[in-house]
Amino acid sequence: MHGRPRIALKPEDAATSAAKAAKLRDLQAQLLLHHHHRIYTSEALAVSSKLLEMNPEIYTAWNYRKLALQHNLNEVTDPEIVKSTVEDELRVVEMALRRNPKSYGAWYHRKWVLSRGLAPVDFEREFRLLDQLLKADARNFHGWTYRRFVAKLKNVSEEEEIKFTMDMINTNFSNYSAWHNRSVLLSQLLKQKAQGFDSKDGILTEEYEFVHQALFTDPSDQSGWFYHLWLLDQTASPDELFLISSWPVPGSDLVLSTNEKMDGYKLFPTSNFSLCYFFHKQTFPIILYFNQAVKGVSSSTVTINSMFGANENLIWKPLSTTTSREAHCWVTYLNIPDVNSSSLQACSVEISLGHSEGIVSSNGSCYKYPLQFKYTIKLNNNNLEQFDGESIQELFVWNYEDVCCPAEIPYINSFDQLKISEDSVAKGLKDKKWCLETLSNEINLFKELSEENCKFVNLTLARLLVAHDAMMSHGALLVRKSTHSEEVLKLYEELIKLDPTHKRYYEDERSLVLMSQVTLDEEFLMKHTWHFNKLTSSSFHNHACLQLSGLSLSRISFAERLLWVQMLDLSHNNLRSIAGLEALQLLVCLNLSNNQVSSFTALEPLKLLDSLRVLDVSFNEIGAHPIDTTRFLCLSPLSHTLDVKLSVDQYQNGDIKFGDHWEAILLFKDLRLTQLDVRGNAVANERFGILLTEMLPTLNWLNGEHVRL
Amino acid sequence: MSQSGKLMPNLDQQSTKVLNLTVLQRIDPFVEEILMTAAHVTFYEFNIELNQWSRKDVEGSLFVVKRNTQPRFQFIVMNRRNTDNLVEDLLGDFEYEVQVPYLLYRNAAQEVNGIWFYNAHDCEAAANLFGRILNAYSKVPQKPKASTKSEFEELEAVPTSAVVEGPLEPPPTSSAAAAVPDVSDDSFVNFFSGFGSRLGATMEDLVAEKHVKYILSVEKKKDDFESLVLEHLRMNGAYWGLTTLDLLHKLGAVDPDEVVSWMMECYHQDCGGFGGNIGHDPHLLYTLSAVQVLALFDRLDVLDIEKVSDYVAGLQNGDGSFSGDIWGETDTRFSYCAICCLSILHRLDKIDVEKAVNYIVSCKNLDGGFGSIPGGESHAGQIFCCVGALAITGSLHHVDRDLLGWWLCERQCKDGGLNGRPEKLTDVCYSWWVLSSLIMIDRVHWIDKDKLTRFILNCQDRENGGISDRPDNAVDVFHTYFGVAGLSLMEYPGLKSLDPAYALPVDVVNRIFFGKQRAPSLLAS
Repeated sequence: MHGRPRIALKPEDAATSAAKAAKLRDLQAQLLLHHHHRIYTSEALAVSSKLLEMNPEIYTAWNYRKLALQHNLNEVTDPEIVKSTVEDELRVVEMALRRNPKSYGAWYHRKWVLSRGLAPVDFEREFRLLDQLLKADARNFHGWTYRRFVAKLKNVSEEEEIKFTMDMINTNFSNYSAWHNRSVLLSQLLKQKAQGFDSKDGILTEEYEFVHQALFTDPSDQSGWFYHLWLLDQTASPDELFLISSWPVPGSDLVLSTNEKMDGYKLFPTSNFSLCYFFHKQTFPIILYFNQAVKGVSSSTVTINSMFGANENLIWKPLSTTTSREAHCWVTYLNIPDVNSSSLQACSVEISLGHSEGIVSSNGSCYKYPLQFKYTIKLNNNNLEQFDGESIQELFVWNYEDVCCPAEIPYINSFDQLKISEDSVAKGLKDKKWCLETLSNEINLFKELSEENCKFVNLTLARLLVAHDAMMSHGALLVRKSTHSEEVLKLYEELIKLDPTHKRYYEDERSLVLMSQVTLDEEFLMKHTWHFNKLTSSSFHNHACLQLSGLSLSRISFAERLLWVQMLDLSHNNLRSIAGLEALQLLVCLNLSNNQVSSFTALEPLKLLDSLRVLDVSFNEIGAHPIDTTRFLCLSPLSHTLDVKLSVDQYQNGDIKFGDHWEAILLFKDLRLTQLDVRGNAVANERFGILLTEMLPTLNWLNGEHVRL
Repeated sequence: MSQSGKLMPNLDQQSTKVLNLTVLQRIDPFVEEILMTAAHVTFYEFNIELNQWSRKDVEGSLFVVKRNTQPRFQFIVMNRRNTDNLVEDLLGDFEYEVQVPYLLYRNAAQEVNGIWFYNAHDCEAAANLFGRILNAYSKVPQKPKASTKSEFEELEAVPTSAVVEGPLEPPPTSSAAAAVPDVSDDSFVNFFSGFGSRLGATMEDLVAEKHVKYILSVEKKKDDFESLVLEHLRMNGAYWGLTTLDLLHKLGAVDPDEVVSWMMECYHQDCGGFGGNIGHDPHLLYTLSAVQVLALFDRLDVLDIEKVSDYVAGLQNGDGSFSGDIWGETDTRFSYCAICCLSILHRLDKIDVEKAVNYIVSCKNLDGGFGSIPGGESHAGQIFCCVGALAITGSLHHVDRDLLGWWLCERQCKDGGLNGRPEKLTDVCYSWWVLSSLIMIDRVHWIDKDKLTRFILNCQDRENGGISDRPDNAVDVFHTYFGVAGLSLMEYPGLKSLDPAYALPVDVVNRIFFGKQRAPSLLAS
């Protein structure tokens, strides 16, 4: 019952209603009788049309009429009879639409009849009908869908239909349906590079002007803003595919030492900073990070020349929590042999990509900039003594009292890796001239309007500034410092006050800007980078640690700037999601305590971190929410992305019911944690602790207590 | 007395108190004095097994009283909902925590309850008073269970007036454990964590009992015009009504055999599909509802699963889309029906999932939403269907979650309700479509849940049950389901949780995917 007031029926109305009900019941019964006995006489058809006029939703009646038409026109050749039969159907549909202009059954019946091609379509009549209906309700999406159907049937050109949307919008700016149709038609024409639509820049410029009229007429109406957002996306989203980051850093010298007592190798850059890297299974990662999600990274599109095995044996893995074979970040692992004989054997590793096609982004652009870089790895089995006996046995506590902050951070030259794309970027920037100009124009325009405290103006301004910065940062290194992040942060602060209903949206957007700001360059990162080189716990001696705690972050971004991080402290933020962390392949210790993670499924990215050993998720909200918002964003039987048969067998014993704890089991069974803290979560209790201990055979410490001797 | 309780109108403070005292003494002759009054409170209880809050059948005025015998201090709630008044001892094993306007406590019987105070000041005043009483007496060492008598003797020695009117700050060394539970006491803290956010500022309550009554009455009503208009989709109606009952923990009120046998009369043995009612043609819309209802009752065994899944799979077209029935209407709604249905039946392998997904992706719009066919305008209902189908097939990476999330969260209007498309009116039914879509893409925090909760509760018919599209409109089963479903998705206390993709209670979905039905295949492997 849409839009009917809640009032008791007056006796006289009740009588009318009862009479109507009796008639409806009678017609319905007759219809079903005719339908089941295949009676298609004109009297029977009249019953169905009366019924559909009263209630156009009775789908069986429409089916009946289709059967009747097929039956009655079988072997009929007289065009007049055909024509009048078709005419009858069209009339019934029109009556039904008068009752309910949004009746799915009625609209489809008309399409079905016309699609038969039984009689020539009277297009004038169809467009007249549409004009009437769209005049009565310009937002009737059935009407718009039908218009697209008829236009296609008649071969009306897209240009003409674009003109129609223009007319509709000029009648009333607040017509989202028309704006939508316009975006569909325009993007088709731009894609086809149809005549008059071959200059995307020119067309978009005109569209900006067109939509400005709507926005300035009523800035609080949503319709034009969504269209403007689409134009912004067309202007600012990258067409070109670049490699934006990698690990190891091109040109670096690394020393790799081995220790028999460890389950992994250690790796040091030759500088005096002695950074340790910890890998298990004698492997060594090579990470590539692109500006868009790509597929097709393989040993045939990326060549690695080294003494650690043949290139064709390398397997590249997309770092993605889904089953798609697309990701921003890809990793492969070199197999490091045992180093028994000689010391300091220098091996060069050479990476080249872009020499053959095959790396393709989700929007279809190909990677096409040939690129080559190398670094050296020296194998060393000498200086093991100082690390003797290390294995992650001791309890690690995030304690910054004993740390020292290095004056210089060697791994910071990872940012110079942006140079790898400089040539291509310089070329790309020329193409971007129009885009940058357009963004600047829009920024100036909305700055003038921003005084009026309209949320859409402020939000659009913030988005424009972010897009502008992003486009510049893909460009030259020089301008990276002159960003608008402070201005954008202020805009989001204002938006939170202006539109508190969508506060958390603005907070999430603000978090992206905050992440961008703290990771912008070495100067900013220095403030958050620590070096645990005086730790009592020697396990994490000299690991590269980034402390981003207490920054009000609610989501992660710019992971490409953090590939070098081995210890990450994100405690005391507002994180609900950790999507993005999967790129941090060197990560050993992760502190997520005192955030808002509300389920184990939200920790899915951790499954891709082979090196992770120490995890603190204490004082989050795991188990406190009956509705799991990441239930379908992880691999699980519910989304047919994981078969659990084996796991069920393994864990379905005694007190533990797989169904009660599947989220935790599917997460932890793939982790090799030695320390875990889940205190302060609703899920944490003694029984759950036993489950964790059982599931994680490598675990030494649970909730700060020793679990095994 | 410094405590300013809520007063009744037209009576001065003193005479009200005298009157109240008289009433209380009729119930409990040992009541000596009323220390505080709160005019209106509502009770919630925490189910430890289910880890969830639900409404307790207690509501009314709360009195904190001093008695002239042990137990010395109690609070009493004069229950308006039934004749059982609630009485709790304040001394002994009593712990509490305040999250204004809630006061949460655990009593000696280890029951965890929450009190909602209509007046936030009453909540603070009560907490204050409890704190002073407990602080004064908790200096007494924990009682050895055997000698309770002696403990009571000690209590007697403490001058009560000093307690009640004493200094507000508790002595720093006193065992404030009662007021501020030690963090290591997981169970206690965890019961209470998130309580406030789950209840939010729900000033209005869900009249659950009335909704149950309403749904059961609709089930029986078949003869008036409104029921007749909907007769052809009674299978959908059964799904809406029965799922609502299950969310309200009242599925037991209907006879499953009766429902199942009616449903099987709607089954078309020749093809394997279900019609919307007896005598009506088979269609995917009703086949899904039938499968969902059977799943609710755990009666999928009555189906010829191969036959039904063949019917569904047979409706897939060459381009991956689905027709609703043999007449060929194509719509992403039918993609959802087919995929959800086959997934529940564990027969998704009968269709070309990749093509089905690609077709849905081809209906994606530049605003991030989805339409009914390629080029169709985004609409919250269609978005639910497409996002749901993508969720079930593990394909949500095709969704631009930030873009779609913003479009969806902008559906929330000033009245707190949600609309289905930009610049349209709000309607309770979008509580389901928009919320479930937002949950599946992990962006539901972008809307204001408290405002939406209030909007839905305002659409209730408080007299006769049922929920309408907008406040003060006529109710129907459809909106009653979508309203209750929306509240469930917002973790409203006392409701079962609903799975956002399968549109079935989470426990039913867990039974389908982790339950005993899968046991045979487990044994085989």
